[in-house]
Amino acid sequence: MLRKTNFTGLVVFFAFVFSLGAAYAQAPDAGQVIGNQAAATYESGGQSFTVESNLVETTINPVFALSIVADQAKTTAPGNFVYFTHVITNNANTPDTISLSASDNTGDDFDFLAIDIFADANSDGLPDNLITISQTPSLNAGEVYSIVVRATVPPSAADTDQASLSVDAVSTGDASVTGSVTDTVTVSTGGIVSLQKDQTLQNDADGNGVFSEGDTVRVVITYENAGLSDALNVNLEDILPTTNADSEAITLTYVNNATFPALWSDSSTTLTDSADGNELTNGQGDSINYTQSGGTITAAIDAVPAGRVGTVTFYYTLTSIEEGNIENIATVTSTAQGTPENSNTSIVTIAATTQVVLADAEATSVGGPNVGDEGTTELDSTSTDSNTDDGTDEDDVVTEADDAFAGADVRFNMVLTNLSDITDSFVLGVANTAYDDGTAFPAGTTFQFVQTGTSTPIVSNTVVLTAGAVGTFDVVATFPTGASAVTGADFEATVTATSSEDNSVTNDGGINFTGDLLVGSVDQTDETGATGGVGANVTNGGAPWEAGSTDPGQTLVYNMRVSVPAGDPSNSFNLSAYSDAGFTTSLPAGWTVEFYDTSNNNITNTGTLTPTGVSAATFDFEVRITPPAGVAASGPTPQDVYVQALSPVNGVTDAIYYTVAVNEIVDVSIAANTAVQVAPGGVVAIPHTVTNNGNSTVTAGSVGFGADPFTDTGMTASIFLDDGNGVLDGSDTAITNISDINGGAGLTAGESATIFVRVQAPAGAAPGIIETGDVAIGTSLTTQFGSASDSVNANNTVADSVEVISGDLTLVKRQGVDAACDGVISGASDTALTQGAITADPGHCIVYEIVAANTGSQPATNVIITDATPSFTTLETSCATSCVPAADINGSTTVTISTSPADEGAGGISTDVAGVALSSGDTLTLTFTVQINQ
Amino acid sequence: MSGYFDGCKTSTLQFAYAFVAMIVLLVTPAAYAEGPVTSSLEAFIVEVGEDGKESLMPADKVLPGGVIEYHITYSNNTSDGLANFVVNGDIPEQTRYIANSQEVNLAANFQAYIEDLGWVDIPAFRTITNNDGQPEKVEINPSEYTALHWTLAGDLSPETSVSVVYRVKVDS
Repeated sequence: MLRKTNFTGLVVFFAFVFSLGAAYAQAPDAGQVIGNQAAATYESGGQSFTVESNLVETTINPVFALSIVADQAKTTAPGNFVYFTHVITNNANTPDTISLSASDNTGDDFDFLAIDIFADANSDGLPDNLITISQTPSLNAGEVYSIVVRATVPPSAADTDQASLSVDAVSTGDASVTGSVTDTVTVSTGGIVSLQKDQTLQNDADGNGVFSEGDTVRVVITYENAGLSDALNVNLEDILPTTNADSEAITLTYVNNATFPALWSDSSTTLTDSADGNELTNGQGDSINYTQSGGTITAAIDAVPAGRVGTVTFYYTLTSIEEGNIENIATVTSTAQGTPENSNTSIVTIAATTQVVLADAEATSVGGPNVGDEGTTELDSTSTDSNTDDGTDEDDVVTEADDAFAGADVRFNMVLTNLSDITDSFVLGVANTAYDDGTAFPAGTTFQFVQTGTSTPIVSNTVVLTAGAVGTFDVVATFPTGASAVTGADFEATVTATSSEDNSVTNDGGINFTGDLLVGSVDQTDETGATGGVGANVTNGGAPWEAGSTDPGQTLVYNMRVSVPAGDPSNSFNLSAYSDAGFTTSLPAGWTVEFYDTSNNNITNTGTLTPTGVSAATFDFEVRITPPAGVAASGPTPQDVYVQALSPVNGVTDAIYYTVAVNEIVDVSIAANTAVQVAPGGVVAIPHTVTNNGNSTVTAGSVGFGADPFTDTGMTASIFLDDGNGVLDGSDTAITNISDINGGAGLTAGESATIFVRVQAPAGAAPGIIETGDVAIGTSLTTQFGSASDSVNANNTVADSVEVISGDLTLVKRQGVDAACDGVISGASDTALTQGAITADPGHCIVYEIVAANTGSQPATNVIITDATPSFTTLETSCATSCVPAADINGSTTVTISTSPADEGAGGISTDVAGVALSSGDTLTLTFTVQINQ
Repeated sequence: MSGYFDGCKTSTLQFAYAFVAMIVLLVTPAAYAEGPVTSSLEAFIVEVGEDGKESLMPADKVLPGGVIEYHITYSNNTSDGLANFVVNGDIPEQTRYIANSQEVNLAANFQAYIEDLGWVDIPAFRTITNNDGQPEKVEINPSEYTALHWTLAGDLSPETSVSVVYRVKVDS
């Protein structure tokens, strides 16, 4: 049977004509390329892979061959021309020019006067012209060429003399490839008839101007007596062939009717086919007996006078033919010619018709070039069908109805039928445009042609099929990984096959995807993957799946999991945290959220997760959330945290809603322990600072005396709230509770307030008596959120001591801020001298003023004020306006500074170590300036 | 004598926030110098010398009727075994498989593709009606094969190669 193609071609028709035996194969043309490319498939990690090899190409070399036919024997009269017709065939796989020469053989009865070779391109047995030739034109592989060899017989040749000549053919491409024929001439002085046969297109049924199926051919056989006497009993015979030159079966149907009448040149009466004896007689009394039976035509003419020419004409129809040549020879015998002599080989050439159908089934005819042009009329339901088509059979479209994932392959098996009568190469192409009411495949879809059921690519997208053969191949469409999901898709693309023999011959088939285009999914859940956040549930009915709490600055860890379901394609996900369900807003400033994998690596992406067909792929990780130090307590409204997994590949996403509550830190403190002096009967105000160190507003807490209330020695004490000027004066009110501060608002987180303990010593208090007392802030507090206990009790009490001194010397220290260190306190950036707390920045200067006042009635002697530069400061002496340490009495009498550090030094400062005397009412004032370290 | 004061506030501290650069951990495949699986396909013309010995020549050009020998090799450059490894070999158009010319260096199941039967173990048979009208099983001629494949019996082990060889004859 005929050779099948590389990818499942099957020749149907010829399997019946040729029994199993030697395979018929046509040599490939020279220059044709035999290409090969291998592919391998394998699985790794649950995924399938394909690897293609390199392409190797082997070119067919030319091989030369020729034939020249056939040996002939003719009879002619002395002095005549005799014509021998021969057919030369180029049997190479490449074009060739064949050189021709004729030679007179020796050792015979006579020599020809001349032997000439002429072209006979129309194979009618007559030279096309009288230009002798020595070679054929360039003939394509398989092409034939007819020649006429004319030999001139010398007039001196005698009756029954014989001579022969040889005609040699030599390939130009390979001089070792040759052929030869021998023609023999017998001389006769009797009547000799030679035949010449001509066939022409009589009725062009399909109007294409060439011999094709259904056309009618006219055969004219011309007989001539070129002999010296009458030819008697001239019998012509012509047999319609039943095979063509390639041994393929053909059917030629003889016809003889009013339109196509069989005629003798010597009469206008139509010849009859039946064997009815001499049916017509010409004017010279010669008769013809014409018969036709079973495709054999005979004409018996009783006599043809010397020099007479006549014709017999008949017709036949090309009922069933194949591409190629139909060769036919008529023969003649006569009384003088006992051995039948041939006419020329008359050739009718049937041109190749090129037709192809690409569809979902094998075709028996062509409907049209577009998708849908072939249907059940043109497509064969019993033979080769697409092995993937889920749609209607024989509708020119291969349909795939199964769902597919973005990034996955879909196969469409298509059927290609070569309805030509020659072998042809068909080039495949695909256009991603809808051919009907669907839409094109998503942008980015790729298409590849592979051998049916494999991953092996079709080399050069070209398929070779012999005449009548059918083959199949797969179109593999690969959806882009970023495609969006589509339910009930209707994707269409057009696949085209184009003939290489005639690239205006094309045929389209359609591929149609009607399944769902799926996009994988992801599930963001708690660590079990079974309880929190399963499926599309971002919240637990609006509530968080977990609600943890932590202190400011302390990290809270949640465990979570991302899953990709079984059967999905692989994917990877970026992890992010948001404070809103719209995933637009980050957590507040100062909050940090970090993700860590199970190996404690800080990550922002899960890496590739690849599920199998039966198991999901999961990724466990930690979410570490840290509120900033000092951030306010959450109270009843914890911080929302939305953790989101989002694929950068295809946008698949899920999220889970948790909350983090910042714990309330409650700590109120009072500072600092202080020792003061008071004169008998005098009053002293001891300032303290009450500070809210927590992260919520404290609205209530008792403020009062502790265990020791300043009353042991007869002193009296009460507590006042500073109104902000840092001095106890008449505008300050008593304070018993934090709720008295800020008009009932209490202290916000980090806020402080100044209170004074006002102590009065009885008038008769003896100098040297020391009274101690505690001031305490309660530990049962009320914050903005309700009752709370102070978390640090140790800082809720201060202990003061008051010493009664004689001389009633009081010592008051004030401080102010000279921000520019220019020696002057003025402007908004400076702070006026005050006993209260102040704030300053590194590089600012603090001005200290210590005033010793004699509030008694007696003089005080040996008064020295001693102080020191505080920590983190150095003495500043170089200001624009003098700021060196200075002391004076009553603002006028200068007192020397005995001790002071150098500029930018640290250390003690004191007034005159010899001491000064202060009368009643006098004051000794020491001032100095320090600069805060930068 | 000692004085009292509330002391000066300490200077404000400037905290330098050291941002820990987020290390993006991408799961990338190990970088192979050549690729995880590499392949090669070579073609040779089989020429028979005067002494009858065969030699393999480069297959740039071949005459009709010539014999081409194909060598296909796949190498597993990874550290994992590769499962279900199938090597495909094509029978190009205008050539035919030469019977019993295939070889493979690892245990594998060799099959040929026949148009109306699909992938079959060989020799393959089909049933026809013989001249006496009786059904008869005839062996399918290897010239009908349109493709070949070898399915490895086990995984293709790490750092291991599979090689197959087969011959085809060009039509003449």
